[in-house]
Amino acid sequence: MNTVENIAPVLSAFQFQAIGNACATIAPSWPLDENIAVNPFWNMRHESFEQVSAKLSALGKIHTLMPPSYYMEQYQTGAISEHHLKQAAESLGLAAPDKNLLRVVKKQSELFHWHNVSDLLDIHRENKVAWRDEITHQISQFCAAFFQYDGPLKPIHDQHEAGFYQTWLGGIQGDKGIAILMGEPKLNQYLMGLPHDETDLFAQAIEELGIDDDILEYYLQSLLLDINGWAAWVAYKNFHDASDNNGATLFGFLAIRLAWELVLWRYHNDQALQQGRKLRHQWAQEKAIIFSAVEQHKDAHKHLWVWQKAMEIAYQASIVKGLKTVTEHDFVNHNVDTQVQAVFCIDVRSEVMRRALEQQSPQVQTFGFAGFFGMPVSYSKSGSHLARPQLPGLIKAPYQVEQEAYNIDIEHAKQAKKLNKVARFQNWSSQPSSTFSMVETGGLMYGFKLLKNAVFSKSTDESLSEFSKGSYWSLKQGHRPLTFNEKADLITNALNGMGLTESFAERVLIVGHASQGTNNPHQHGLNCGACGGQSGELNVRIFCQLANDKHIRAELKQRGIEVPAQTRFIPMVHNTTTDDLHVLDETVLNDELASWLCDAQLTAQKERAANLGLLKDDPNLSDKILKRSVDWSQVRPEWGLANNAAFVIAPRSLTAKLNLQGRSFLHDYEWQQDTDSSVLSGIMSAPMIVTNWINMQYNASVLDNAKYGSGNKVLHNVVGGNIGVFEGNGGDLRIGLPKQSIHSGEKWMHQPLRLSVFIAAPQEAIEGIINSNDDIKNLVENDWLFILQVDTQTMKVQVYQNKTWQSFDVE
Amino acid sequence: MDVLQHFAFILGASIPLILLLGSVVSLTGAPEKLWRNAHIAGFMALIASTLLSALSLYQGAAGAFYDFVHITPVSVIILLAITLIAFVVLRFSENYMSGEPNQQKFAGLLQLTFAASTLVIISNHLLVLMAAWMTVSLAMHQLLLFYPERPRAALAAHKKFIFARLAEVSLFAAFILLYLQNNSWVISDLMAHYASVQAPLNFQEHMAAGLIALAVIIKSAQLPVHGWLIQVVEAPTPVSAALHGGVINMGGFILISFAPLFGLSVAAQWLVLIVAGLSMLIAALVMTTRVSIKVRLAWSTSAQMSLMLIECALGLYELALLHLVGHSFYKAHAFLNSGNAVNQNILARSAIESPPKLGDWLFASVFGIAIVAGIAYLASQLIQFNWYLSPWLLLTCALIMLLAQRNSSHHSLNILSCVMLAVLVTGLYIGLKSTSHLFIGPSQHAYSIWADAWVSVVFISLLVGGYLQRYQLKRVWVQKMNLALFSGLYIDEWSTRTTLAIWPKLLPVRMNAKEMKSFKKESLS
Repeated sequence: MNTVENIAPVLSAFQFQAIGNACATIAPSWPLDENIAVNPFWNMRHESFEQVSAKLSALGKIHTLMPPSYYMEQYQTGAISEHHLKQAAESLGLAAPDKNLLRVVKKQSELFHWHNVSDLLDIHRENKVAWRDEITHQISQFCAAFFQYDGPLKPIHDQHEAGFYQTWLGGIQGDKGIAILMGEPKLNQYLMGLPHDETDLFAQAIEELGIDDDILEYYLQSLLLDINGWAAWVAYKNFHDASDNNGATLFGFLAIRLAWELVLWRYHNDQALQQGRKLRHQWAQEKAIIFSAVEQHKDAHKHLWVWQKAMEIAYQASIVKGLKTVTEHDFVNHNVDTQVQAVFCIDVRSEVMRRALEQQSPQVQTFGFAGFFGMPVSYSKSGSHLARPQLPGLIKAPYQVEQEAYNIDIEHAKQAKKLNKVARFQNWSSQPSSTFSMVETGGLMYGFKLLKNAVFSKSTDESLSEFSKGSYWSLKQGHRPLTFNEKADLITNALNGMGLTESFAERVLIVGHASQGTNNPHQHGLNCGACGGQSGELNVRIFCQLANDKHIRAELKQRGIEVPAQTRFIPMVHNTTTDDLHVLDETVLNDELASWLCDAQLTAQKERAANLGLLKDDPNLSDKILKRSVDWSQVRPEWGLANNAAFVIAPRSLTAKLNLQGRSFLHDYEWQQDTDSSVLSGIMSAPMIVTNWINMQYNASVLDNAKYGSGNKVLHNVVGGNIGVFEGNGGDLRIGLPKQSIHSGEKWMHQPLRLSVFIAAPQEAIEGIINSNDDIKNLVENDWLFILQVDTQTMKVQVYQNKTWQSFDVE
Repeated sequence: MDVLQHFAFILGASIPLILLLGSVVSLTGAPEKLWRNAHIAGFMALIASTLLSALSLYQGAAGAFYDFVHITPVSVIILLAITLIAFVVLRFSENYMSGEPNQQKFAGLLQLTFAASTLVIISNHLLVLMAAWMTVSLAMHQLLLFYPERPRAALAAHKKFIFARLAEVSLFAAFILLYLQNNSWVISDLMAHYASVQAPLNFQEHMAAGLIALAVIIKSAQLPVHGWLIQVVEAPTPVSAALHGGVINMGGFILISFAPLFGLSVAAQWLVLIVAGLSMLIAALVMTTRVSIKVRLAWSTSAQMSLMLIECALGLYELALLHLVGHSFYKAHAFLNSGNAVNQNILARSAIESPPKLGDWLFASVFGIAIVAGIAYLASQLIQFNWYLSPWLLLTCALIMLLAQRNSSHHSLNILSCVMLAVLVTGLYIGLKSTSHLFIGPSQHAYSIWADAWVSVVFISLLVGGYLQRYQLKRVWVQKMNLALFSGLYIDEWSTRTTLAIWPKLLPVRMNAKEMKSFKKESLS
């Protein structure tokens, strides 16, 4: 073992900062039961995408661009044209695009990639288990056991109040398994020599591995990338507040990964002299090259970025062309007799349905608004303490909602009994002393279950509604019921945000959305992201309850929003798997409206049929779609938000004529009514961020499914109950989307384009908001998304680039 | 032999043939009709086994014996179970595997696995049995390597490959010994001989019984050769369902088939009792410490197989048969349904258990014992029982858990309805056990108080161990025990390393490996 240092190394302030910076690069990942989309690069938004891309590529061989063959195919099919390439090259400051992609392929293949100590040692372990795999496996199993709500390590940690790193250290020092498996009998001695305090660990490792200040952050980031999935989980545990993190921080997590490097370094330097010498030599070489390597990666990717941007320009051009057909005439409100207004979530899946519904009659008007409808609540199931958020993941719920009824205690008790019964049986079936008798007495029953699931899967379209029709809700903050004014504020803000403050129709449909499916660990990811990966049902119920309340309407009138007495807000759910529209309360729709909804469903189903592998004109289309939505073997129940590419912040009249092909988020906005730009600022700082998260999750899952996607569904293995999935037996926690959610088996169903945000507002207003909000500024100026301004008078589009507005020319 | 017996023979023999034909059609036929053809094969096999069952019931469960193939009451039941699982797994795979490459190979191998499994069940010739058993294993090996680029899949399949060959060598040696001793390859003749023989077995026969037991132990993933079973969740879910719901249960079937020989060899019985007893205890306790759903299910299978083998070793073949079929269905369903783990977790967190108090335990113990003893006594007035204490003890342990764990933080289940449920479970157990007994011949096993005692110790240890893990984790020594279980007692680590030392294997390069070419070409495989 190394000689014990007389003067123990101490971390400098700079080193502390570097550790903090490395930890700050990791974006959180939500649990499966609250599965929402996250931009995995979110925490690196202050750097340009190009820079981040080069760094990730050099440090972790992570792809943030498609392979050259993909772009070539787009070129050959005409999706990218000569003109787009030229435009893209120009905008990126290059004289001309490089069309010789073979050269790019060659350049990419010659690039150097960084190796951690464990990677270097794996070169010599041909017939043995690789260190990299085993370290990942060990940390992964430890984390799962630590974070699982009833995991085997939880009580140990709870009782001793040991830190995250210390709990790991206690475990690994008693673990003989790795030394046995790896065939390194003296390894344990080195594990025993690890310092008890993580700060000391950092100091010793940095000193002994000889990490200079300038590469420290790179090195630490590459260690985190090695086990990126669990890092994202730890980041989640620290996202809203640190009270729920069991004392786990990324600082401790990084210490664990670094400890492995230190142990292996010491072990090989002492025990395997020959190998140690080689290792020191290679390590010195690694450290010397890494700085220039990032620049090399940047250079190698330079021309691919042109191709990527050309593809994005091509998409933008298609929208701009469509907008050119819109005339002033389209903005005039022709029908004074609007019978139905329907407010949908901004979700791209709503676009198809809105178009389908508007087609039914000119008397239908639709709006787009974030699908939690401004109701920032969390909800505990009846008869249970388990709370779930019903709002965007960025916000922590300020309010709680409870069901109210004259017999609510009876209802709670009934639910509690039901839950207790099923949970106890589930428990009994899986315990070591009872599982055997369960199999001998109840095993045969599963034969019928198998047959039932295989042949007679139940098909009910009502299953998406969780609550009864007449349910009534009360809002609270802690134990304090919300005041009348607070409730009125919620509705006022929501209606203002929707731009629905006058000319109310008789029927206003408030349409949340949810997905229908079974046997899918990622089911919640298909639900409403604005509702925290839940169904939007609860939020639309609360909204309508408040908005239909006589007293609140009176208050709204005081505030300048006059809702006619005959207007009724109707809560509905859009089942995005079957495109069914379902009324949640007792309202009986008139025949005309009912038939519109029915026809809209069929129109939307027909539009989506081809992507589901069904025929548009199949007379049993609805039945077939319903059937596949409840099929336990279906790995592609719906395509979710695949192929999303744009976010339009404008009045619906701007886009009503266009077929946006379910690729666009739509948020209603009228700048004329937003004199201080506060509404626009709200949209750009909340929904726009959410759309960026969704867009980047889909992009990243396509670009590098091994790192930012969760791999193959047929191998998925749920970890810790709700934490995430493994692909197969173990390995890192897998975040992001499964391969099946973005790939049909034949082709990618999502084209990775950065989000194009089209805004119908004055340039000064947009610019002002960009410059006053750091998050937005970073996203825009570092090329994480594009801002395009639409002038509703001239229908001209200008793109915000390098802090100036440039007109967008269509060839 | 009458016409019906011939008909039964034809039906039985048609099952592996249908599946084999399906396999060949899948591998060579048109890809666009791949799954339709596979479903037809699965459906026809299920129909054939259903007709066969109906016929056997009508015939009063008499067997039809031929030199190569025989249909016995036990094989009819197991055929029905396997074909049901084959039918369901094939149907499941169509949508589940859609978009994956090599679907033809997948469907073909899956049907081949089931075809060979059903042939094992009906074969009446030692060499046919041997060949069928090997085919199951080799087809399964290819399925486990369906994604050959995954290093852990390769490692697990490699381990399984070695253990499986070991088991086959052992089984083959046993068959040769049996043949040399009796000059016959026909299983029904051999077993008829041992069922009526008066003299004790000679050394060669003891060897044969022991080798069969050893082969079964290895194939049933008993400790310390269980690792492969745990790690093959690297293969697609339907493969796990087929393996855990079909193939792995084959070991129990072999012991049931060779019961007359096995029943005469106390040494072979003790080999099974000791290995499976320890396996059951360790695997069941390790199971509760697992962090992922499929790995948990795999450990559970290992423990369930242990119990089935123990029941065989005690001569309680009716329980082993019941266990075999029940476990097949349960585990196939659990794997196919494992995507619902998140919903199960939400449910568990919605009604977290409040630990039972001392009074609950006392009540549960008293009533648990009383219910089992009472009903078993009443039933014994009607039905002849094999009076081993240990199986009743296991049931009692389960009832104690059922009666004690009634409380969530929000609700307590009514005591009376829990007692009623316990009575129902016991009644069901006795009913099923007696029904199962109708299909099994008289047992050769002599009652052994030592065997009964040893198995009872295992069961009680399970109860105590499970209790400690769940309710006493605040004690430091229990934490240490749990940590050791969490690490799987390092048994598999030894086994992996030894395997790699004896028979090295170049593992495939890990996915998305960073380029190493600045130092060395990264072409390991």
